Amino acid sequence: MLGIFMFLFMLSLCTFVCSWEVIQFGLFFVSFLSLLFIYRFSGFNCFSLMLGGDLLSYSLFGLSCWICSLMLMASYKVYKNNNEKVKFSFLVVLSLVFLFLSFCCLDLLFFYVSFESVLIPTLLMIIGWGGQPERLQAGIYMLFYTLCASLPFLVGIFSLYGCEGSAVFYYLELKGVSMGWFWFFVFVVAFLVKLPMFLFHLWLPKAHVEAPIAGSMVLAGVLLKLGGYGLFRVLWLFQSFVKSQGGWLVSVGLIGGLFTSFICMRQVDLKSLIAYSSVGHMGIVLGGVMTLSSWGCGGALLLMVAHGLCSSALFCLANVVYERFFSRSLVLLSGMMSVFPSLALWWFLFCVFNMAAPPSMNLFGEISLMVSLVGWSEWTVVCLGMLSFFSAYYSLFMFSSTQHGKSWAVFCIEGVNFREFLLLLLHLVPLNLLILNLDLWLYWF
Amino acid sequence: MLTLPIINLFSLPLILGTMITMSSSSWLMAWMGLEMNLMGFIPLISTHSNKRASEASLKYFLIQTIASSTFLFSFLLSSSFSIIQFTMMTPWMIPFMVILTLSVKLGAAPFHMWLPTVAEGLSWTNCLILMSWQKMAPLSIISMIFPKNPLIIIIATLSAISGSMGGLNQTSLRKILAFSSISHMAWMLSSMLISKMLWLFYIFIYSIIISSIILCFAPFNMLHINQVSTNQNKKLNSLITINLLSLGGLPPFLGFLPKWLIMFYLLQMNMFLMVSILIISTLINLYYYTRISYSSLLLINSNNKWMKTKTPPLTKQLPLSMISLFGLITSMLTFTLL
Repeated sequence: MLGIFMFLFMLSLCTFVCSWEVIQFGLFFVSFLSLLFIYRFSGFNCFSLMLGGDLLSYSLFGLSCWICSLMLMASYKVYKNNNEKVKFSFLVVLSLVFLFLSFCCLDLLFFYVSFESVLIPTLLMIIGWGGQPERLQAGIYMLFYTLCASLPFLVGIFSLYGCEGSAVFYYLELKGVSMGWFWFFVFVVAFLVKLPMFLFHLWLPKAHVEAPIAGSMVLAGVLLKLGGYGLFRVLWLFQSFVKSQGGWLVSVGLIGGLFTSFICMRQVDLKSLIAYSSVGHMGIVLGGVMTLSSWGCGGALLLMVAHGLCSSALFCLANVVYERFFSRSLVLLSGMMSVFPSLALWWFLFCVFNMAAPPSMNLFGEISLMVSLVGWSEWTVVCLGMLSFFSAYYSLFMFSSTQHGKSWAVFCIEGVNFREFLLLLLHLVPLNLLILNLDLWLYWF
Repeated sequence: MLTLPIINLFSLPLILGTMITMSSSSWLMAWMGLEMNLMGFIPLISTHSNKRASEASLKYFLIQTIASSTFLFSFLLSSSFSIIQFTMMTPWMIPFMVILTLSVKLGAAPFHMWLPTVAEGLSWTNCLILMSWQKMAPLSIISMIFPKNPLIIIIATLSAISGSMGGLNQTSLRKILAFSSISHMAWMLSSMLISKMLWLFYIFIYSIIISSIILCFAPFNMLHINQVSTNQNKKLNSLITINLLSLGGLPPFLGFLPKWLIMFYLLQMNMFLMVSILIISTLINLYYYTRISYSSLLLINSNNKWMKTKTPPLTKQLPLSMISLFGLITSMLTFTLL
């Protein structure tokens, strides 16, 4: 643990000295190292200083390493145009350092500090490298939305400290600490905003639309999962309350997911469509976590990892197109199949994975979430059926409206190059290969 | 402009006065220290011979003398010069009066209106003295004598609200920093409810952050928001941004540390309302700090071709800024290693 931290710390210093490629190599190396932790027994292990974790934290840390290395790869344009590239690579590594600290720390207070710190590199990335002037508004909106929700969480941690004398996860879990219903809102709202649950999701599409590709990838790929991770960690304090009253949040998650699918069907902006679709998926995750069943929690973790890879790949595709056509509008981007025939396959693959098609992890995540939700109450069948139908609908809508139809591209454009195909392949491979080892994720606790 | 020896001459009573106040055991000595401090600061204000500076020095003089004469009057009523006796046997009226007069001297909430207007007339160096050193003496008296007076809670709450609201529609950097110092005053006053050391810790870290900000503003003569946004020196801009975020108390920076401690101990005492008011006002503060740093956050902004400014190396600014950047992280790491 400490070794990885030291390595990441050195890497963040190296950004000022070494070249872009070295940093890229270092990031891939870290993601290799992070895989070494996954084959461990269940429960918390690998303690060193205040760091440590269980399979939940290791898999999400692995995901964030992978996404961060792909972020650097996707933003090759920053390197090529020398658009403050040193600062950029520093921010990428810095966000990885903070993500590492927030996934692999044992203390709620330490978690809070690093949870908030991740916000700053993301904010700087959105405001610094985004496209339109509106990025300022979107960034500030994101910052204050998250801060307003998470400061009560800090207050909650302090009073937990006051009552229990400690805020270490496994200690609280072993002792079976439970807190009153009032604290439920204080602790959970911070993560519901980060997740985001429907009704608290307004900052997300704004931030996605204005963010550069790396910002979108880290937002969709990792930051939303930080919310889910936090939910897993604090929910143990409120078991009895969640068992009796958690149904409210399950229904908000599911119906909200349905509503966001409706919103997706009427989107004209590619990035905002993907952002809303991730709100919908996170709604199912929220429902699964709130059932507190082993299928629900395992499925939630699976869907989080799968969705992190899949939505990040969709943002990459959107960016590949955006760099050529300078537009994200679904009206203008029709008929791309005739312009980029080889890219059409990638679009197809990631669109069907977004609707949870067979060989992907999304499928198994959604199935286990559905099992847990239906076991929780039969009435969720209605909502779940409509959700999976509409998610198929908008994914197909995204595919067909970009690939088919009349092409507006009448001018000369650069073809899709090797780096971009590699980028998409590196999203695809873990997304599909990890399904061979699902037992690991289903027995994580 | 006066020359260096004269500044030295007057900064001696400035420092000595505060020392005397802080270490006095009788009211008369405390009062004398406050007066010495005032007499040292007034000439420093009027070293800059323009109308603004003389207006500011006059304002400062009037406010402070009224406050200290009331201070003198109120402890004369208690018929005891000893500070220790005072705490034991006095009617409730007199501590109230003393606290109110000291809060006038501090520029805390109901009596805060003079602070931004005076700060507007000062040079950056004097602003720094006004916002950090000048707070020491009155705060130390309050913390020594009335640490748990309910009036302090009211003053702290009011100054949190007025400091955050007042700075929202300002364009002058000195006024913004003055309002921010009012709302930091709220944190310091509320830390007095907890312990006598915590406010010292707070003001120490606050002075580090504010001096690194002012070190960024002063050599480049930045007095208004638009001067920050037209500034071409990107490194300086990012230093300003980070220091401002630190001043606002965002987690990975040093400014979060004292706020963390104060919040923690206040919650131990079950003062939820107080903590929530402080937090909300700090968020509003953070909003106007980010407004100053918009341009440096944006990275790419329009540059005027004809403005070729020399960018001197930031040797003066860097060390303090590094402390306010990495202070929290290093201290957390050292604690874990211990």
